[in-house]
Amino acid sequence: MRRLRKAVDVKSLSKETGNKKILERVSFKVDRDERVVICGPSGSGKTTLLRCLNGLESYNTGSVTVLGVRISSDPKSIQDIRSKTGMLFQSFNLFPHLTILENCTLALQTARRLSSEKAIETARHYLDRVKVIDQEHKYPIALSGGQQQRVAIARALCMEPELLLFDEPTSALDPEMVSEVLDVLRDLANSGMTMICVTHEMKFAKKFADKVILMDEGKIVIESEAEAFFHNTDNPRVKAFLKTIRSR
Amino acid sequence: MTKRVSWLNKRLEFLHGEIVDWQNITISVVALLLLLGVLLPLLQWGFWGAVWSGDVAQCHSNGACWIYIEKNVRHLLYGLYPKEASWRMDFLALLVSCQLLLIWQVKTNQVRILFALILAWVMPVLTYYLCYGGILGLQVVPPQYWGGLLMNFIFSAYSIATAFFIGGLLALIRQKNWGIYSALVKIFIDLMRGLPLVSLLFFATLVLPYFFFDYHGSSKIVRLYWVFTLFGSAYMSEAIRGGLQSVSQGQREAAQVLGLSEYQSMISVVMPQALQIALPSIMNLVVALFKDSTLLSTIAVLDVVGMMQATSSRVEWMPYAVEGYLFVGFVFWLSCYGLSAVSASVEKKIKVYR
Ligand SMILES: Nc1ncnc2c1ncn2[C@@H]1O[C@H](COP(=O)(O)OP(=O)(O)OP(=O)(O)O)[C@@H](O)[C@H]1O
Ligand SMILES: [Mg+2]
Repeated sequence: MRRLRKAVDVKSLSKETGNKKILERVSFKVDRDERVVICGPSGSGKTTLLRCLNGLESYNTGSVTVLGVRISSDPKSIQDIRSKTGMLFQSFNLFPHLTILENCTLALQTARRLSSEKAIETARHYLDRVKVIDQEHKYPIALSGGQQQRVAIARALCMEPELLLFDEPTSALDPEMVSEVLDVLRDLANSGMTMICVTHEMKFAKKFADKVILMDEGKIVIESEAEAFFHNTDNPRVKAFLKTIRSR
Repeated sequence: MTKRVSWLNKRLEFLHGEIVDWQNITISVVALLLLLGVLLPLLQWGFWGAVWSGDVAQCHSNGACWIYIEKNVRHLLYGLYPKEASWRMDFLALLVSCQLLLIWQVKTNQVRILFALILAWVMPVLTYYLCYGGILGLQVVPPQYWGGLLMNFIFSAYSIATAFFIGGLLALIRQKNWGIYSALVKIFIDLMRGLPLVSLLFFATLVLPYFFFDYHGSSKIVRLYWVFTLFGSAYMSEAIRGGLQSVSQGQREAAQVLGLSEYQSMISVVMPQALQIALPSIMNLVVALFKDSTLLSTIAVLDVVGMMQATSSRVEWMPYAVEGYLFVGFVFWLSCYGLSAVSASVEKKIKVYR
């Protein structure tokens, strides 16, 4: 299969509800194996934008192409994108009625129709990679927040996605657990994986990102190489944003 | 004086954390005396003064006549079902008990659902033919002879199981916002919940016959079964809908994002959680519906209450109807207490991951 150079191509994406513009002509591209951080003040539309990429959220105009598939009215296009994309939520969303291992094997066995041995093997591989293999028979409630988010990452990795979306993966965590999750993300980044991460952790973003997108009021204010974003801060809005982040 | 109170306090510490003072002691003593005043005569009547064996002639008005139960136990259990055929009822009751036990104890949910499906959709048909007979050389026993406690048990077990599946379906349709279908379901549920069960049962016996073909003279019990079941389904669907609503949107999205289809997500993510949340209300319903099955007696079905009324209207037993009511009450209390215990144990198991 030909490997496409573009992982994500969003053109002039707009969404409004009532007369409120949530996204306004947003366009950006993400290359294969690129790590993108999306940041911006609360309510600027980061979550909405991310959810538009895998069809969790609908939009009014514009086009979204993910991994060579363009979202259309055909539900199959969205299914196709979801089968190659993983997503992590702020609140983990592990299935509380299933053990850690079952959380990881469920989709493999139902959506992918793998045998249970094969599914368990895959799940164990990724649970080991995020270092929660010793917890596999516990229920999510018995795990710390950091462990739960790492299980959620393993669960997403089990589906062998080509693109991972993260929506503030650490903002529901106690400060001392943030780093264990960020370490896993950095490890993933080094192994080569296209990732788009909404985050407020600017220190992490500095080390992690190839590209930074700053949003405000539904628009992309600036899209630049990470290096440039953090060092050439002549743009007053970038300056203002970084200042609010630092002061927290 | 105070010394004595504090001595009492020490002795009675295990009873409650409060300080014992004279006011408390007085209230307790008075309450105790009142209790004894009521309880003692009752115990006297029910135990020491009661007639436990022998003949009706020995019964008197100063004590309970438990021989009534002994002499009529067959009728209370089997209704008018002929003695030589009553093994069929025993067999069915045993079969149902085993299935219920399996549904409760089995480890995997798939197996549990399978047994529930059999109980809801296969067993009623099987039971009908076995009870009626006329096949395999079995004696024919028309439905008007069926009855007794075993019928209450079997009838309500099947009906509740069937209501569970119909209720689940109704809850799904109502939740889906499928326009006209959801509206119809809502109307149906409100109607069923708005009407008293007794009036529905009368409707089934008096009005519905105009629409139904009477097969084997069976139609009455079948009509009652369906009305009872639909009544239960309405309540079931509300209980399950409550569960469905408390599964967060995030759970559905997590399943979607992993590539599960809507059906797969419903079966393996949403429904299991919804049912766990709804379990206490479902168990409440089970108890309530089991008790409601005695309302069948109001329309001349010889269930345990109907049979009790029939036996105690015979001249020699006429004065001892109270014993009958107490017996039936005791049996129902015991069963419902058991059900509550089961429900509590299941809830405890579920708490492990909530
Ligand atoms: N379903 C909806 N209906 C109406 N308005 C919505 C809806 N979803 C989001 N919004 C609005 O869209 C805007 C963007 O929301 P979004 O959640 O994408 O912001 P965000 O950048 O992720 O913010 P945060 O940093 O707080 O997570 C907000 O003003 C929000 O009120
Ligand atoms: Mg957000």
